[in-house]
Amino acid sequence: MLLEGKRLLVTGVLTQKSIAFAAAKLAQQHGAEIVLSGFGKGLALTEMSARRLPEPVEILEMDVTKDSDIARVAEQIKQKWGGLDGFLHAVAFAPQNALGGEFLNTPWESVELAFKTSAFSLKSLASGLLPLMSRGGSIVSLDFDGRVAWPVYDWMGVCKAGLESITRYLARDLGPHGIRVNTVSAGPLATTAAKGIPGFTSLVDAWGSRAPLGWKADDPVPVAKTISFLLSDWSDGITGELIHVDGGYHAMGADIRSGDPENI
Amino acid sequence: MSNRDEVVVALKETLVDRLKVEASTITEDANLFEDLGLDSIDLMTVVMAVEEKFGIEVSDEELEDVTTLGQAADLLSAKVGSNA
Repeated sequence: MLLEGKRLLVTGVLTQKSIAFAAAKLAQQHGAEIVLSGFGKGLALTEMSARRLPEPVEILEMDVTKDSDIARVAEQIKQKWGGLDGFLHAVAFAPQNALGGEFLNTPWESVELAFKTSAFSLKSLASGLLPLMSRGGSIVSLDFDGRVAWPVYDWMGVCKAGLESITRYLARDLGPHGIRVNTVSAGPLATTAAKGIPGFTSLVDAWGSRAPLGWKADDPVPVAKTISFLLSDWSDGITGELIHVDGGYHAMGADIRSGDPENI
Repeated sequence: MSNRDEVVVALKETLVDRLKVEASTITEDANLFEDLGLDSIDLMTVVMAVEEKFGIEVSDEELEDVTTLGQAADLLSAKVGSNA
């Protein structure tokens, strides 16, 4: 099996629609051992969603903006498994005034919180869990193409651009440890996180007109498959990479059709 | 007790026990967001707890129009009824 013997931490499972839920489910089905982490008031949701995974999982409480939480989780994983083979970073947050068309007016405090939670936390998790990955490993994060500007995405877009850059620098510094670092740029998916993005449906419509393969906003499985691939040894020559799982949207220069993305 | 009464009890229990909402503020007409101070994560927590208890599932689309406890009870109890 693709992930036989892999011990993986999956952050960011909130509901069954979470990309991280699909990733955790697929990883379990392909032989991985999983622990989840959850945070704050979302923890109850994480616990309930976890019971719908194929195999029972332990859930660790972790605020990725707190080094002390990361250190505690590292210790818990060390006690449980003695080491770790990889993790999925699926964490992002931006205050309301950092999204939705107020780019010119967003205060620094909101940007700071968004960046700390959504981008810097990849570095925090990587450095906090590094001692556990003595056999090498794979780190994967979730991106929304930060190379270009989007409607309404605003400072979260800036954070994703930061995440992409952090991916490359972590790849540089963790490569000598045998640890690979990659990010997956997904097309728009109708998750809880997406509900917080005003104008989300207009993005889905844009995908319908441009993605050569079409795009199903309610199906995170293609993204989960790529995450499993990146966490597995089958991708052992890939690091510092931004992989688009977006139906090919990124490769088109203009709309190629009009109409419903699911009916091409 | 009717299905709907059971759902109302379960909703109130979750609101009070898990989300620490003051029991005296909970009425069927109370707005979940404005009166009881819930956010979307809270609402999903409450709904998922009731889904688990009664073995039902509600879609996001169905939840979109729910703003009061009574509306949530109507939606959820209809599911329980059709499951029996």
